[in-house]
Amino acid sequence: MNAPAKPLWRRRSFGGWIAGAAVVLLLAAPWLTSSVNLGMFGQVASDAVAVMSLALLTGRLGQFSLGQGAYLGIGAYTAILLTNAGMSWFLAVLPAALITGVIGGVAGLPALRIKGMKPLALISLGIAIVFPQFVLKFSDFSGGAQGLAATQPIPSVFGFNRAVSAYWTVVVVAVIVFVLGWTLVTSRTGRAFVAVRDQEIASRTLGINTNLTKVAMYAWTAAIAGISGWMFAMVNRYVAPADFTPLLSISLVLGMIIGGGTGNIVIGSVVGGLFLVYVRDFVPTIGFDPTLTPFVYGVILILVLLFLPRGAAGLLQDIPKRIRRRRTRSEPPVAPTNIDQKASLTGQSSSR
Amino acid sequence: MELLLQRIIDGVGDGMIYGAIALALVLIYRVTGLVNFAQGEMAMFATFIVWWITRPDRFLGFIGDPQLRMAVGIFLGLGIGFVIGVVCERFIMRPFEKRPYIDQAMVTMGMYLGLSALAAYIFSVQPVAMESVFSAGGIPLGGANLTWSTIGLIVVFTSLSLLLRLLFTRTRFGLAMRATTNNAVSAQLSGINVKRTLMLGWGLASAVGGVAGAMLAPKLFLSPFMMQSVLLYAFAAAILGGLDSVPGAIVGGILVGLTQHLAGGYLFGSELALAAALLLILIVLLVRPQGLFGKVKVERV
Repeated sequence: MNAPAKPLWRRRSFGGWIAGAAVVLLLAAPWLTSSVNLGMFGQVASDAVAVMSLALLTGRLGQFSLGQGAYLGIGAYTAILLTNAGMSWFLAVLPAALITGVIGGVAGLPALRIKGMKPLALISLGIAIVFPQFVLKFSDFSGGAQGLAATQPIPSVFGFNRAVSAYWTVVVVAVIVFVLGWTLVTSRTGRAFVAVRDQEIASRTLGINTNLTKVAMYAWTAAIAGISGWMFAMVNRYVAPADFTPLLSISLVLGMIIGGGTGNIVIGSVVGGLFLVYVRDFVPTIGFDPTLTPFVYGVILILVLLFLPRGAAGLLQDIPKRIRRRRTRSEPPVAPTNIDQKASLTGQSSSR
Repeated sequence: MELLLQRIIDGVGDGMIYGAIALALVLIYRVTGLVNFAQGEMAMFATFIVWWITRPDRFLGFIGDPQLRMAVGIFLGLGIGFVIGVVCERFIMRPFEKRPYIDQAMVTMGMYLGLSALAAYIFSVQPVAMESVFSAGGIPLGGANLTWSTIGLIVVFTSLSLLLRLLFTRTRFGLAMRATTNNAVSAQLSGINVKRTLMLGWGLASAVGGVAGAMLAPKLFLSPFMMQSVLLYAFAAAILGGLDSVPGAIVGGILVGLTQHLAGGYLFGSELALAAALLLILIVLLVRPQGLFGKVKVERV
C-alpha cells in the first residue's frame, strides 16, 4: 500500500503551485483593480526582470555589473525608436534584446583577460555613466534631454484597451523570461556558471570553456536587461535620459540585495522589483526629507547585508523550515530541500 | 599651439586630482584588497567639513587672510578625513570583515549612497563656492596660462605620493599594511594588529581623499555630487596605473586627465571625453591587464 500523499504544502512542487496561482491572479488583475495599479505592476515586472538579469550575473557568475540600468535604457530607446519608425511593438522586443546582448557581450570581452571583478565593474559603471551622455550628444536623433515619446499606440489584445494590453504583454513576457531564467539556473549550464564562479581553474580542467561561458553570460544578462527596457518603454511610453542614470543601476543592485535575488532568482527578483517601485514613493510619506532617500537606501542596504544576507527571499525560504522544525519534535528532522546556502550574498565562501 | 599647451596643462592639473583620489583607492586596495566605491563621497564629506570650518563666520574665521585660512583648513582636513575613514572602517566595514569581497564592495556602495545623501541633507544641495588655497593667476607659458593652482596641485600630490611610497616601503607600519593584504592570518600570527592596521589604512586613504577634495572644490564648486564623475576618472586612473601601485595612481591620473582634455577638445567633444578616457583604459588593460605599474598576480592552483 502506498504511503499517503504528502499534503500540498509539504511537496517540493509547492513553489510551482504558488507561482501558478500568482500568475493567474496577475492575469486576472485588469478585472480586479484600477489601471493605475496596472501601470505600477507593469513597472514592477520591468524592474523585476532587470533585477533578475543582475542577479544571474552576480549570483551565479560572481561578477559585478553596475551597468544594467544602461542596458535597460538602450532596450527602451531601441524599442521606442523602432516602433516610432513603424515596427510592431511585439516585434520590437527582438532587436532590443539583440542589440543589448551584443553590446553586453562585447563589453565583457576585456573582462576575460583581467582577473577579478574590478574590470567588469569599471566597464559597466562606465557604460552606465556614458549612456545618458550619449543620448544627449545625439539629441536630434534621440530627443535629447526632453526625451522621446512613443508615437505608435500599443496594439490591442483581444479587443481590450491599450493599458490592459500593455500590462498583459509585459506580464506574459516577464513570466516567460522568469521561467527561462529558472530553467537556466537549474540546468547543466547553470551549474557550469556556478563552477566557473567558484573555481575557475578547476572548471577549465573539467572541460568547461570558461571564456565562452563568461561572454555568453554577459551577453544573456544584457539581453534580459534589454528586454526589461522594452517593457519599460511599453509601460511608460516615454523615455528620457534622466530615467537611466547610474542611480538606476545602483538601485537595481539594491533591489537585488534586498530581494535576495542571487539565491532564489525568481522570488528575489520579484521582491526586488516590488521594493524599487513601491518603497521609492513610500519614504517621503513616513516623514523623511526626500533628499535623504538615498541615505535610507544606503542604510537599508547595509542592514540587509548584515542581517539578511540572502535578502527577503532567503527569509521566505527559512520560514517553512522553521515551521517544520517546530512541528516535528517527534519525527526526525526533515532534510532541507535545497542545499543550504552559506550566509553570503552569492553563496561564495570567504576565501581569506 | 597655445590651445594645445593649455589643454596639456589643464589635463595635467585635473589629472592630479584624479590621481589623488586614485591614490586613496590604491591605498584601500593595498591594505584591504577591496575597492571602495565610497571613496569620492568620503572625500566630499571631509571637504564639506573643511568648507564649514573655514567660512569667515565660523571657527577659523579669526584668520583674516583667506588663503592662510584655507591652508589651515586643509591641514585640519587631513585629520578630519582621517577620522572619517577610521569611523567608516570601525563601525561600518568591521562587521563585514569575514564576508567575501563582493559583500564588502556592496557595503561600500551603501556608503556611497548614504554619504552623498547625508551631505546633501546636512550641508547643502546647491553647489557652494569655496576659496582656493592658491592665489589666482599664474605663469604665462608660451601663450598658455600655467595657474598657480595647477602648479600647487602637482607639487602637493607628487610629494604626497612619494611620501606614501616611502611609507609603504620603508616604515614598519607600511610593512604591516603590506603584510595584512598579503596574508591577514599570517600577519596576525606575526603579532601585527590587523584590525588596527585596517582602520589606519582607511583613515590614511580618506585623509588623502579629503585633501584632494579640498583642492578640487574651488574649481568645481562644492556640492554633494561633485565627486561622481571624478570617481569614475579616478577608478580609471587607478586601474590604469595598477591598483596596487602608488606611483601608478598619479601617472594614471595624469594620463586620464590628458586624455580627457585632449581627446575631448580635439576629437569627441566634452560630453564624450569620459568615454574616450574609458576607451583608453580598456585598450591599456587589454595589452597589460595589471595596469602600467601593477604587479602581476600569480594564482595558486
